[in-house]
Amino acid sequence: MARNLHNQLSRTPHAFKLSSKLFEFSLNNMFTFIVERASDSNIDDKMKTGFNNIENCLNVYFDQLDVSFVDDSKLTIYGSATLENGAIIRATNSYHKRSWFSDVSVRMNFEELLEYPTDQGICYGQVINQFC
Amino acid sequence: MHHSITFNNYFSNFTKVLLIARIHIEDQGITSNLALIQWYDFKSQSHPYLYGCSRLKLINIYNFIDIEAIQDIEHIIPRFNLDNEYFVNKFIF
Repeated sequence: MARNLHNQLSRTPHAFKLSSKLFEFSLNNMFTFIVERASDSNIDDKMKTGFNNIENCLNVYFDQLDVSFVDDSKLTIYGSATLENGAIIRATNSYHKRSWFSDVSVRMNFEELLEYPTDQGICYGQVINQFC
Repeated sequence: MHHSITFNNYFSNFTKVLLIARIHIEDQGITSNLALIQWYDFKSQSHPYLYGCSRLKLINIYNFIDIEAIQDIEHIIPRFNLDNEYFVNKFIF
């Protein structure tokens, strides 16, 4: 009985939880925010590349959902997130004093693939991962 | 922004996470947990694997995806002495 209770407690779901907040800004102020961060040497180039692509990627993402987003929408940048399987992904300039940008595999099914935006005629799909 | 699609023989679903973000759209009551990712593609379509591992390169294509669409963490390591060439380490799991 005690063991059952323990198992239930230890399975507390925390999937898709985002943690360690890094930045927060309104889309109104996005350009100011990005320009200010561009010269900040504490910010890794990978994150700067991310900032430079926010606008394009947001447009594509919300086009797909057929949602119009307004300029006072709020964007919060986090340093880490927990996946469904409990693994923690990171996109941060300083994790134990080192930058850490996780490599991940992405689920894609064929129907989604056809709707997926591509560039330069390149398209992506599922690799059969024998090793996971 | 939408481009025509052609299919390569080998598809990569490997990516690097550049930003983890939550967007909140007040008037529509939408909150999304997103990752801004950069795609890896196979370094070579004719020789996609070496030593039994996927051989990849980072390409300049970026997307926001839902955090839920991320399958798992991968261990991707640079190949020695070569620029923009990576192996997927499949031996550690």
